[in-house]
Amino acid sequence: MHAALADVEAIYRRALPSLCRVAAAVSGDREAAPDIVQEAFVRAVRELDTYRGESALEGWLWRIVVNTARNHRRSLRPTAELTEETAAQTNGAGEGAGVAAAIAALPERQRLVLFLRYYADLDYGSIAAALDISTGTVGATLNAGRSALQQLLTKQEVA
Amino acid sequence: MNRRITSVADALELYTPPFAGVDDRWAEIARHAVPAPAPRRSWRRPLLAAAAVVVATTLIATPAFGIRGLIADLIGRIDVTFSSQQAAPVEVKRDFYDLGLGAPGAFAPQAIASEARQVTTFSVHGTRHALWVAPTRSGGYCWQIGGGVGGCREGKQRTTVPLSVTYTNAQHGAMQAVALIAGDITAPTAHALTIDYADGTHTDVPFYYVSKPIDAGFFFAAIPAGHDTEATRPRDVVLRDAAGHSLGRTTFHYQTAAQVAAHRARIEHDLKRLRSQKRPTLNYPSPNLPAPTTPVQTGGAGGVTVTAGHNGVVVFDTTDVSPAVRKLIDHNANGYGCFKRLPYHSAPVTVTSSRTFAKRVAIQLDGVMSPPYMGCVIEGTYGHRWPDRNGNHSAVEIALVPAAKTFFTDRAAARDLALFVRSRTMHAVRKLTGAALSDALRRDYGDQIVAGASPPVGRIGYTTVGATTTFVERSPTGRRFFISFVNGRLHDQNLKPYAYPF
Repeated sequence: MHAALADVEAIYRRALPSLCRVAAAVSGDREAAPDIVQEAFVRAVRELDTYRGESALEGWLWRIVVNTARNHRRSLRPTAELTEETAAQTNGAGEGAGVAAAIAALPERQRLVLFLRYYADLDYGSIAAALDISTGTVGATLNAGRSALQQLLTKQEVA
Repeated sequence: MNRRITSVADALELYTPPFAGVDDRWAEIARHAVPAPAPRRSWRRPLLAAAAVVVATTLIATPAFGIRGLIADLIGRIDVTFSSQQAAPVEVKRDFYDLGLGAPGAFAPQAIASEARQVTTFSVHGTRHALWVAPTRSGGYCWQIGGGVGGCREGKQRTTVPLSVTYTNAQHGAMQAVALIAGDITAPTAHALTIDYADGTHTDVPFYYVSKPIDAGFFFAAIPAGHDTEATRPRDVVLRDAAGHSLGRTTFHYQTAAQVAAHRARIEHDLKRLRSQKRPTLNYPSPNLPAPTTPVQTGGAGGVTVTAGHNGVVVFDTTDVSPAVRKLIDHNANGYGCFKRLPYHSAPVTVTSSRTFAKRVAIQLDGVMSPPYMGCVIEGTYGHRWPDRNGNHSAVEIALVPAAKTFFTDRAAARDLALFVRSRTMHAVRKLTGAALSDALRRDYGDQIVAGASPPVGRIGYTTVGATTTFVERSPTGRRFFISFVNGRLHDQNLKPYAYPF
């Protein structure tokens, strides 16, 4: 099964703000987010022939966007995970370093599931396809991520 | 007063705010769907890059013979294929697009912003400056380097201006010497660009020649050290073809010490004279314009009606203006204008013309911003302080489409926050953090300002974490504006283009 370029275009046009938002959250680089999305979609249309229809096209595209954003983050700071400092500096969260720290403290998978659920409003199936995990794992990770973030936030004090 | 953020949704909303007005780059992406032909690499470019390093480190200014001549021949011109260059980001496209805003039709450069590309970066004094270019509809091009130097050239100017040089002089006591040069080249046979010095030496300047539709070269360079005396300073810039024939020349003109002194004295004298004079009252009467043509857009507010024609003529009729509104606009210079959404802009763009208050005021927007418009406004020039006397709204706000009301509402919230942080008191208070900030806000503003990142509509909220202080205001539409300061210095904000904080 081969996806048509028009399908990719439709998803791009419909989801562009969400794509950028997730790219910014994952990469920690808000300014570069449109470039990350562009790079991801260039890669997608180049590799469209390799898309076999094993998962939803949208999930496949999100996977490429997430991976491109993760690569971008690594290129920014090769040895560091997303830290409180980078998160606060790069996500425009100058107003909430505590919030950034709480999110940075989550395991990466929980962060990604939260981003895809809240920022892109993806269903469990699409999140599963994007992160290459099962639908059940999405539900469990989402619950765990919400609970963990909730607990971390209640420990954070924002004056 | 402390506040805890305990909602996951609120936290995520804070962490990465939504994107709006993202530039659609599908055309650029789709281009890659078709297998690209094998790239034709010029043998010159790697050689040129290597040679440039050599020259930059050892042969910046040497006598015009021997190895310098050989390397100059290699580094003079670097050919670049326009179509293979990286697309410009939306901010740069917007800059090119905006070149046509506010310019009468005949003078608008008509840059094709969607085609803007980055050609290269110039390293000057340790800072990298990107070169952006965009073709124009007249067959010319526009260019800019790092948002500073740049310009546009019409297609018909290609044959008449082979070399154009912009330069800045540095003052060394009473002596001047060129410090930076930048410019464009339209001669297709251009081969080498040289700075000649007063002492007979010269430097070769590399330039990037961009293929069609640009078909022009660009350069930006600092004058090497050691050329800041009268005997060694730059004398001219010369463009030559491969045979060594001159294609164009710009000679630098320096003022003598006496001329500089006389010039300064003249400026001082003029300033003193102007300061001693009473400022004249300027009037901006409506010009004679044709009536708005059909189809027209009409609307009204505050007793003011507006008629915007298909020909871009907009007429404001204030015959029945309400006394309250009249108080705001009965001045010599108000801003009369309209707004609409434009490409590359995240919010509607307003274009206004200064006009003196009258019963009938006409402006011509055709060629500047074509109809239809979302709405029109009259901006009063009564001075804006926080809290604003007109609730942060323009004196007259006329919605021609329903979406305009959302714009007015959001803009008022953004203006409120901008005026607040811009106020004299806040310029001092915003340098504080923690308890000192809270105490100062409570002392100066009482319950007008509330702690927390989610204030009720109509109030300004704040958070202070470490050296970072953020002020937040929500619009009744649900939009959330913020501005943050680190150690009192503006760090991040999302008020522009609705309002301009400083």
